[in-house]
Amino acid sequence: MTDHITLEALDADGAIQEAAHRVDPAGTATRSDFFRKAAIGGGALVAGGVVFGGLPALALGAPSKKQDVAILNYALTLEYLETEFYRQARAGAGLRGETARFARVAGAHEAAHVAAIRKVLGSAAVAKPTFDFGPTVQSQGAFQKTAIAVEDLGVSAYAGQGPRLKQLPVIQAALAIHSVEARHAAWIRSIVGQNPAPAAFDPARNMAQVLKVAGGFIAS
Amino acid sequence: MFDISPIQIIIVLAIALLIFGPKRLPEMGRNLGKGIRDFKGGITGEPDPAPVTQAQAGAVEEIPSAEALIKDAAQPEPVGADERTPTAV
Repeated sequence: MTDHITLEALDADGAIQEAAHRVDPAGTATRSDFFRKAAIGGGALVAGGVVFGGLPALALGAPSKKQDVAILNYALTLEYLETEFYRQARAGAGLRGETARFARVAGAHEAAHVAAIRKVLGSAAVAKPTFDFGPTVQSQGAFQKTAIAVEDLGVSAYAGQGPRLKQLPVIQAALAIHSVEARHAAWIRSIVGQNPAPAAFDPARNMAQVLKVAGGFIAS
Repeated sequence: MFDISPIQIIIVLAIALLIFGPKRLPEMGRNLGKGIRDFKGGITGEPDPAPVTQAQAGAVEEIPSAEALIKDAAQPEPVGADERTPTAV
């Protein structure tokens, strides 16, 4: 088994790349051109870069291509958070055994998600915020508890936005990521001796609910 | 009470088939059967099948906030508490 995940492996059927082209229905502009226009059309929301703290202000309504861009940036911010969490934990938590392997593999997956979403968004991708995970990335036990929370949050965040997406390729890409987040959540639960699948139904969380949980990790 | 012969039943069914057609007739039969079951249940006081409750489905766990996780992580950790033997599911 290889732990190295590439964009090609994640987007085997081209769904993510296709999504980039679908948002340009005329097919005349380049992807970056289109997103630039969409950002200008959508006001400062996308053009200025959606930082996590501004998410509750997002007025999300009926699915639209413009809304897909906003949701992809929201997903990107979560993926930034997860990637940075694993990076810092691997550097400073003294991870051992299966936990270390989990952090390495899950971290690689999250980095691949970041790369894939950034590729779709092109110039409309938001910048990476600064994160402060405090002591949660300084010991193995704290890392494990936080990893469960972060992965559960990721799963529920994708579930919360899935029905708001408009374009099928974006939905397919989101589902491809969503199930991997669920596998991470089950894996780390198994490592610490918790039930990997504790409920028959998982809740979906909207942006405000996700922010309430994760906002404390975002320094700026 | 009603003296109905099998021939009469067949005639009634044939008329019903002509009126409602072969597609709607099975559906009507199902609805009739469901109605009879519900009626019997109402008389005997038998409750409807209960939907899957939250408790049966498994309680949805609240995700601790970042602040709570950071606060918890600041507490001293018991030795050997981070690698446990997985429990049976």
